[in-house]
Amino acid sequence: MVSKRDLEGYIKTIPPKPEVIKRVLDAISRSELREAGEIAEADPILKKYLQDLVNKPFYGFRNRVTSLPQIFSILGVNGSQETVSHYLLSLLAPKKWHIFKLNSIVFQNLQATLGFYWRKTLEYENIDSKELSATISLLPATVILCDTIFYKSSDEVALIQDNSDFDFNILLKEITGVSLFELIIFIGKYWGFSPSSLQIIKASANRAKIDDKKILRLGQFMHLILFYVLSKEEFISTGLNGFIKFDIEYVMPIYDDFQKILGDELL
Amino acid sequence: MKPIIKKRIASFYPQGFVDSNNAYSFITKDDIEFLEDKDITMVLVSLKRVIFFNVNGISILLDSLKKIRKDMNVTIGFCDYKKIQYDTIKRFFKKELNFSLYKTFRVATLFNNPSENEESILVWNELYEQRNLQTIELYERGYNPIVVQKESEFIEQKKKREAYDEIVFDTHLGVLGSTPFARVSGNAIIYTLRGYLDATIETKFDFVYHNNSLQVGFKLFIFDMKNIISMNVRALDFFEKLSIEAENNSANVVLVNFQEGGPLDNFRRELEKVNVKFIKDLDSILNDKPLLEKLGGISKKEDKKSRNLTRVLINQLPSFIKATAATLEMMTGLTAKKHSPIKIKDLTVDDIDDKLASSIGFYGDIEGIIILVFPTKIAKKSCSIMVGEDIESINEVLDTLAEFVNVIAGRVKYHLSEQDINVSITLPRTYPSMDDLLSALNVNKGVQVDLNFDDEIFTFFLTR
Repeated sequence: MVSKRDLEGYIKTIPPKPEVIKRVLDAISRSELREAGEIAEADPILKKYLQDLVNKPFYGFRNRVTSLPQIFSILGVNGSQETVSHYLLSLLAPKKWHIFKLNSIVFQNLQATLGFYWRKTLEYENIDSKELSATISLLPATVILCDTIFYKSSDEVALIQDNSDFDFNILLKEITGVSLFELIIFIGKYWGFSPSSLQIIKASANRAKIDDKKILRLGQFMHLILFYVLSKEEFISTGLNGFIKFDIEYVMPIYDDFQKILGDELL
Repeated sequence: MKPIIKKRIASFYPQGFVDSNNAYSFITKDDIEFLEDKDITMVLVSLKRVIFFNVNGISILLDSLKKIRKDMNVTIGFCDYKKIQYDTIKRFFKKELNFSLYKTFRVATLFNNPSENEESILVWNELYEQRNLQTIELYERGYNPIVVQKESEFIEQKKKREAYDEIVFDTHLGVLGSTPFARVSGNAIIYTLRGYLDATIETKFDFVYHNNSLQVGFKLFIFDMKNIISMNVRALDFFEKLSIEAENNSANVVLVNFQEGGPLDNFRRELEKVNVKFIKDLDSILNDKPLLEKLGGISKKEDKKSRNLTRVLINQLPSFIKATAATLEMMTGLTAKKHSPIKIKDLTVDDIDDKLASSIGFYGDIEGIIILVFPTKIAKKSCSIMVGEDIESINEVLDTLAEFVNVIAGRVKYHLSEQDINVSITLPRTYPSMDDLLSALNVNKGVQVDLNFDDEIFTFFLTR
């Protein structure tokens, strides 16, 4: 199906962080949002991606915005870092999806929706950190890895799916020794995500052993946000609802707080 | 969302939140169509990974389930819930609880599948009618239900967990599928019929299960008529049809507990003409070994001689080996090495103490039985991957092993269909030991291939 050697081969194909992204992130880190916007404007693919993403309903702009300096100014440092990170991770996305019924638009919707609930959560938790804001971009990237790694075995995957209530994260771990979440942590490290971000991603895969209570709590929120979003009609039809197993017990300590974050939405 | 089919139960596994906005997406028109040609008798929605639902969400899921019930005459309901979810659903549908609620999937299987070993089941429900109904349903499937009448007594009995194979509580039986229940006793299938037998028996009766049983060599089909009020000429046609098919396969149809005297005597005379046999009651047949053997209820050794491997079957051996080895490699992450040359011989397994076995039959253009003997370690590893969590108890391993064998048989079927060879697959069976395998199956000579997975020997055996 998939071997450790296949994974090693895949890892070798991951490019270094593009130069333009390095420069944009550097400007954001200096809070020079106008400069970041101007650098990003020079890259037409990045520009188009950011314009499409931030004009989705979850970003809440009343009118379509197209100027990247303006977009970055409205998003602020944290929002800009998150949004550029979504672009960075989307570079791994396949041209054609095989395991999930996704396309670039629906995948971008997934990024935008997860980002929306993550921002609300960080706000609820009084966390102001550009590194932690960007963490959410790693979560939908696990879906990319899953499709990319398993697509050559899609017949076998379909057979297992017909017969068992299984979990891609565990399946990959069992057959190669490396789980999807471990793989995205490896890529995140390579692309310079902060150690805290990588720990949160680790904690968002259920039942991870995490000593830091704050990291654990954010990981539990992220696990719950993932399944709140994957319960939305748009994503159920892509086959993502059963992508990995939802662990209810794991998120129970933060469930009441999550209901408060959702407010009237959960009625 | 595609359902997963295990033990003739199709289960949907929604995750997260279920409300009026998304419930339509969990069971779609395509999913219902997917089920139409499947051999299933129950359709469930598992709530084990649903953290939130509301009345609208559950109602929408129920509408889809009811449509399936109407089209396919199956039992429908929910399973794998917590006490609070059970109480909430009962409160939502207080006046019209016409679907079933099973505490776990395993409990659902008890009400859907015949007992293999007269397992002891502790039964408790706060409603007297439900207690009785559940006890009767379990008994009719060959289980040994032990019902308690007071909650305090239940709490005491529940502490003696090891005394029971399963405990049934927080379970509600709604409108059941009206398929007559079948159970296996030795080499006989026993059906329990109820009420008034008329033209509806043609749609209620599970012909797929019956024909599968005929194809895999069951020779005796007993119909227990003790709960039959009356019957009409269409029921006569039904038994005539079954008897003719049975005769074509050297099998017998026997009716027990048939009412003596009155208008049904005419039916009896008609059915005797087409070789349907009448015997007083079940004990009179099951306790009379010479009679049981005469009617085909005990495997005969001479059958062994008549079932040799065919050249066509042997020619397909690479398909079988390829499917088995590839599936095992996929599910264990280990590489298969051929341990010994392929030989036609009696099934021979070394170190039988630490082995689990399974079998699955196939019939159609070619027919035979695949027997797989797993080292317990390999079985646990493969099953853990399928389930996605560690499995320790042998019963759980065996349950999952059955599905695993289904995967292998599915792949064999696929490989054969690529060569225009069409086969159907029977239900898989599992055995906790080699002794159980050998006593349950009349194993002929066959082709044996031993595969080495990380120094553990796995045996593939193909026979007829």
